Amino acid sequence: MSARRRELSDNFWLSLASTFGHRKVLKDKAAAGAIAMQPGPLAAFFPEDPSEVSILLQTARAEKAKVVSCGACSRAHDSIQKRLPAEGYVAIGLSNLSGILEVQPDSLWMSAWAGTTLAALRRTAEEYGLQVPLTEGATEEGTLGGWLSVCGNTNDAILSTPAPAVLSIEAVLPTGNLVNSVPVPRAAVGPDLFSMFLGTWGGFGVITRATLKLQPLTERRALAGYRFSATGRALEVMRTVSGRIWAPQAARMIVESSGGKKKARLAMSFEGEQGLAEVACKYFRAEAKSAGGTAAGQDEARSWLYADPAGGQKSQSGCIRWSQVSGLLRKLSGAERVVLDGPGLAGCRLRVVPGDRDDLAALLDPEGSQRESLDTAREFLSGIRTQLDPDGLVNPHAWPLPAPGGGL
Amino acid sequence: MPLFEPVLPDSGLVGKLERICGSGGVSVSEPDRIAYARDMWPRSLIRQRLGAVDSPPDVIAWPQTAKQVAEVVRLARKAGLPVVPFGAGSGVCGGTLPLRGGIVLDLKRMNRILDFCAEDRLLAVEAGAVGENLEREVNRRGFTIGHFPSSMYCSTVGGWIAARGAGQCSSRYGKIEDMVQSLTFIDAEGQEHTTPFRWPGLSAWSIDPLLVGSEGTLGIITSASLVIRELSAERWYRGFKFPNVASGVEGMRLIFRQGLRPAVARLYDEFDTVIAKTGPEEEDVAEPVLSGLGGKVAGPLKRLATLGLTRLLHSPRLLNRMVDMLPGGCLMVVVAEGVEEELSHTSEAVTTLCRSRGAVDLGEGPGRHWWKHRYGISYKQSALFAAGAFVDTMEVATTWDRIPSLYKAVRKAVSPLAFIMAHFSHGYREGCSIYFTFAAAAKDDAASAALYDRIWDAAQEAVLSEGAVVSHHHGVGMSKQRFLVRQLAEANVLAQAAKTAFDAGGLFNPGKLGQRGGSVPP
Amino acid sequence: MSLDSHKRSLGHCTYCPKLCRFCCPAAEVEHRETVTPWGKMTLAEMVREGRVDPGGDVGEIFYHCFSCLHCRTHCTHRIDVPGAMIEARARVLESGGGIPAVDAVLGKFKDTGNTTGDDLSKLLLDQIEARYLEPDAQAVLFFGCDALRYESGLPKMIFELLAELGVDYVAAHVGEDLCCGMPLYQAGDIEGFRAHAKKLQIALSRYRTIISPCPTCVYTFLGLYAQYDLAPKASVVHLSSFLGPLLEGKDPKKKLDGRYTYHDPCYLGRYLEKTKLPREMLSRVLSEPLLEPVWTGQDATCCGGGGLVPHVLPEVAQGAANQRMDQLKKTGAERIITACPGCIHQLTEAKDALPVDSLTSIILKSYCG
Repeated sequence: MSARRRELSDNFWLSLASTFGHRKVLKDKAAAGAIAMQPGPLAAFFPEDPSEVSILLQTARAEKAKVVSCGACSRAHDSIQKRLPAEGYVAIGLSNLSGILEVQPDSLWMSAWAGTTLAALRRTAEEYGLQVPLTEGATEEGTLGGWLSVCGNTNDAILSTPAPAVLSIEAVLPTGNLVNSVPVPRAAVGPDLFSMFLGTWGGFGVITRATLKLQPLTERRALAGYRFSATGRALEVMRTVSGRIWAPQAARMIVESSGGKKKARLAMSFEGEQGLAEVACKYFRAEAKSAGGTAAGQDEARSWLYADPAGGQKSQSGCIRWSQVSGLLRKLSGAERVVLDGPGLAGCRLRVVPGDRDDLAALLDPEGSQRESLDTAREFLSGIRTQLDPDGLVNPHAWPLPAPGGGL
Repeated sequence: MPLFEPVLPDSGLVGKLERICGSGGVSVSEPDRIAYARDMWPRSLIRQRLGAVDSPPDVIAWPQTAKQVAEVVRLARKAGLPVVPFGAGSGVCGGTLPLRGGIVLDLKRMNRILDFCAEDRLLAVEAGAVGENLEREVNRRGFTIGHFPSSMYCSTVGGWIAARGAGQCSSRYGKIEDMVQSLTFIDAEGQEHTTPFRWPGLSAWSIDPLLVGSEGTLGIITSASLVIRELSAERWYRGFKFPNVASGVEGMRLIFRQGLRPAVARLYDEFDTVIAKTGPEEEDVAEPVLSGLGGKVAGPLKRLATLGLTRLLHSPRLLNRMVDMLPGGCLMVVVAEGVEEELSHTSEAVTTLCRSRGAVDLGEGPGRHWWKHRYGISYKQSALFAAGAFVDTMEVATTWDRIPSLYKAVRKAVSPLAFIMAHFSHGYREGCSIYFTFAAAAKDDAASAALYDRIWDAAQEAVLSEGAVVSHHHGVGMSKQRFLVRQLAEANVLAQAAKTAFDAGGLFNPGKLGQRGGSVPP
Repeated sequence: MSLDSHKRSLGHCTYCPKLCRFCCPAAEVEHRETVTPWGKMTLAEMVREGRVDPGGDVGEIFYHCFSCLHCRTHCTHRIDVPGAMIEARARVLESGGGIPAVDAVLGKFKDTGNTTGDDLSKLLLDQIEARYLEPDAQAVLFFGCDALRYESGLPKMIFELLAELGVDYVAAHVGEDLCCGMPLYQAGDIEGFRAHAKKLQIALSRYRTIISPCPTCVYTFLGLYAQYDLAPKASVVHLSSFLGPLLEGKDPKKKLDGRYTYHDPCYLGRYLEKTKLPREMLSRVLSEPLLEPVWTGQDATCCGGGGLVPHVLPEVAQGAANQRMDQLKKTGAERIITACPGCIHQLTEAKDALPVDSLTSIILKSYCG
């Protein structure tokens, strides 16, 4: 039996009437039509200013009404819908809080409202000969706020470590406080409080604006691929090259069995200013050759890097340290294909095809220490969230934080 | 006659602490309490000249394991005593001052390497390891941590993390938050936790960004897992002379925009260029300035110029005017590390970029000189303080578009009060840090303290109004606390939420980061 | 000399961000801010200014210094922390704020002429032949108390080596005073040290050359005695400096196999600035190159034997010895060579110690077979 949908009180509407007016407020069926989620909201608001978001959250809090903020709802897949409050919720649509505010091409930043689509960001950046460092899975119709809420950390192009995609964020807390960080490349001003907004699905508040980092358009992409009969040697090349100053922007090693033997294909792509990309790729070529690799053609290497490594099949993934890889490959000897990509200094991501193992998590984290640490992190983040939102009203679907590696 | 009496609430507390940390692991002696009453905050040094020891701890404890740290925390909680974690006390912001007494927990007896994996480029080390000693051991194994703060000789891993430090070679190796993969810490209930390993894609579930930079207010960091890098094969050194600050800043911006990764790219403004050329053993910085002024010094100015720097500091406007008369020219020092091809490409690209902005290539001399004396600047402060003057630094950051106005605004605000110079470093694609140094003198130490506060008020007022951040890498401590609270504005709610979630009772380092420290519930 | 004569240094250290603390053995063993050079100097400055009394807990801090001078290697102001600590110790003694262990050392020295109460004269006479006691010799071997106490056989070894090299003009110094007096100085008993130095200066005045296997003794004569206008008229050299020219051009009878490392004694390496010569000598007699520790030469860490610390704070001294042994073992060496009897003793007593050889014994084995 489904939970009964609640009614929003007259006080609620009266409190918001002067702020919003009827143009920006939709109720019931109209709301459901405007916000692409099931079940639909009790009401949908489309603020045009962060202060309106603040008033809305404060009013909803007084009403003890749950609030769900939406960008383009492009990631509103089934798992979110299952978590939407059955008793109903108020939706905040950010499509009216949209637009580019400022572009500083020489300083490689762009400031925009959270409801701006990623397509608009990309187009604007391209006008200045720049690009937005989006992450895998980001779609054109998604919004800035939505993207930051879902991930928000990119691999820093220079350091190959996770780094925020933004210089600053403005957000409205569940308390209604409008907060913003200072748009600077880096600061040492206590805990990095605004890191909590990135990738936490709106659980700490509603992002209203951000100053996004930009990058020069890729001047040159230098790419190469090699075949290896010895998996270990291919792995060592991948590990070594990933530790260089100019690490690859993309790297993938595919391990498959062939005639009872394991073989590996390794491709890497280096991007950046022309000379830089060439030097980095040259180093990779030298390492690969000296490790016994046989060069593949450019098209082949490109397909290794960018085609779906699972070939349409379901896959399972996790992260692994370099020192664990060889041992794990032996344990995964029955897998059709094992793909290593996303290398960093300490390790990489590992994907198993087909993804039907129930022991992968245990193989990757045999002592369960990472799982325990994730529980710790969740506990503290939940504690902070509880301080801000004791009743869990804002974006309740974001809690508890979902397991890493997937969406909700 | 002792300077101060201990104020321990529980007369058996020392015994209980000794049972945890061992008999040589606890002290209430006067010399220890004096030594742990301050860090290197220049305001404290002025107070030291006044004969004040303002905030001694009640007791100092030296745990040797994380388990002992946890037990001390539990004991402190019961006893209602605050706990202040302490590395090597090299911070320049007053971050470790035990404002409400309590227990200072010196972590340096926890300095072991817990794990070293060359293949994974990971080093797990306890928080009390001193930088230079640890780096030498890591070098012996063929690697580098890559973190080289000016306090390398006198700071600890835990201090680096707690203050959110950035080393001199951060443009190549990243800042401390880029190196930390995981932390182990003790929470306010005395429980030990390890944060998740920082794999890409797991950032949302990381509380490392909260703990890194928390300055001992959220938890006690007991160990960390850091990425390390293979030692670089070679190094390239260079110096470039730019016509002025603006062209130098532009050169820096282009270097980072292009994705080049020199370990160091550091631009000095006109006066700092003069200082940069002196070795650390030269205490009298006035002489090179006066030489630099050459024939431009004339008339009454000439007489004043012979009085020496300390006397001149009583007339900051005059000294700043003299600097404006210095022959133009700003030095940029560049140091790159890597293998031959990387260095060859970097050197060519950097040189081309700098020349395109009017720089003259000075060869490798300035770069080598800088590298040789890179920790030397810290030695210069003693002479100034001993002579009755004072010096302090303020490192702020902003985006490239705001750098010129920030530089100008801070100089304008501070010039009437102190002599000021700056260098630009820690470059990013989007901006950089400006590191201001200011020096001043007043008629006596009480006046010096008042002048010090006025300088900071003026400087930070300029920073806030220019939309820059109050600290890039030294941290907040006491020196920037009031400005941080202003800069956070409504975000203080968020800061308080974090503090309450981690440490509701205000056990850890109370009175810092603008957070309320309450009494600890029994 | 007084604390006031160190006023500039004390001021500099007080306002320094403790830049030398990483190489201070006291700081590295105890991990305690108070005993870093900064901590000790700041406290000494407070004593000088009259803000704290020098007795009790305060005075004890000044004895947490090995006098190793490693701090000065990394101080651009070249500050003499050990020198300031001696003056601070003198103030402690003057104030009557005695440290029991220090009082015990001074008492023993007063009774027996050395810190451990050994009969040094007997130790010496038991080890050498009468012909080496020639009072009219041009040059004299002043062994020092550590050599006599800890390197049994050393006098015999040295004379054997000298005989092999055709040197017959060196005699052993025997007499009432077989200790250079450094322990008195280290205790802070400046007046006692001066009186002792005066006596010894007279006793050694007949010689043209004074040779010692103990670099501490060499420095005491050259540096400290000179400070009080009591410098011997003779030229004073460490045994390695005396042997060096004698061995020039001579091939050893055999080269020694094995993996060796060399520990630079503080007084030889830093005070006397002799780091190259021992290595040159060893390069001629060892089959394999010396394995150098990370902390070497002017940057060598103290063995923990100096500053009277083994007497006053034995656990701290032991800690320093253990740390140094650990550093030396990391070279992969099988044996350690050093050129100071005090270091030999201290390192031999370290935890899980490698065998320690004196430079003299290595040279002897190689040149005498």
